[in-house]
Amino acid sequence: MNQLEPEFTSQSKLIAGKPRWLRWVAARVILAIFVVLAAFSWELWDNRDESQISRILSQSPQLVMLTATESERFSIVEDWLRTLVFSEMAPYRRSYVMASIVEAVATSGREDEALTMAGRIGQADIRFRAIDGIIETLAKAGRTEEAGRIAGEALETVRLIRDADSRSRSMAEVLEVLAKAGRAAEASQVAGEALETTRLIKDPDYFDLGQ
Amino acid sequence: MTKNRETDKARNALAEAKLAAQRLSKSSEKSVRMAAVAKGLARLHDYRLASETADLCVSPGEKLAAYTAIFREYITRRNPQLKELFEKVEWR
Repeated sequence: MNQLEPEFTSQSKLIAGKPRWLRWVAARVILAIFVVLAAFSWELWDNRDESQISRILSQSPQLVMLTATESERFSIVEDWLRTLVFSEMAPYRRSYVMASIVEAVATSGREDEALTMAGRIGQADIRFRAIDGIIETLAKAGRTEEAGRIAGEALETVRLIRDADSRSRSMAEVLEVLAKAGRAAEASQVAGEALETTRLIKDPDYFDLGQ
Repeated sequence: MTKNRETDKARNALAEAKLAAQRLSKSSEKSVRMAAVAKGLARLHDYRLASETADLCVSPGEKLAAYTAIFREYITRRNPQLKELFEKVEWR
């Protein structure tokens, strides 16, 4: 028997000896303290300036979409985008927020403005996602020729995507749009380029898993 | 001390303006006033109250304009040089 064991045993007897209701009350009090602390921490967290700004950023795409439909209020959207461009947010985060705004503007039927805005997105992969959204909107509206023209222009952005896997997938998307728009010569050039890019993928299994 | 007193005065004035705006029945008018109050609160760097006030705007345009002001105040406070940049762009 360990030397400390008798001491431990006497202590456990002491705890076990307490009335059942006292233990129940203690447990409830601890739980209540925990809940109050959690609520207080949440309030503190939510009260931070950063939390308010995050909330504003997450709600902005919806507001942009609703505002962009009114032509006389489009300057408000431009103002918001300008503020985002100047902000010193992490580049990826900023690009994501801007891409969601481009999408919202394109959905509201202002494809040209959306395209100009997309050009301001710094990260090539996110910029292409935004342009791809515009192409999709145009294609859905039956404007395949215009979609093809924009896809051809988007190729420059695609070439800037660093990751070979992501680049080849984006090229495949451009290729599809070009083919649908009847731009056979460009499509065949992109096909060759996409094939070359696919050869640069270090782990082809990763590509298969992603399918 | 004087600055704090001025801030308190501005805060009280904005609280009154907010109350007055809440009493308005026309939603477009209410949105314009609420956005103005939110912009004022943003200038006082009270971002939580400013965003809560902006949320009371029914018009999405006014709400976005208020959000822009809040975000702009937030980023210019962190980097005062941006203020100059925004002013230059607005003059164009």
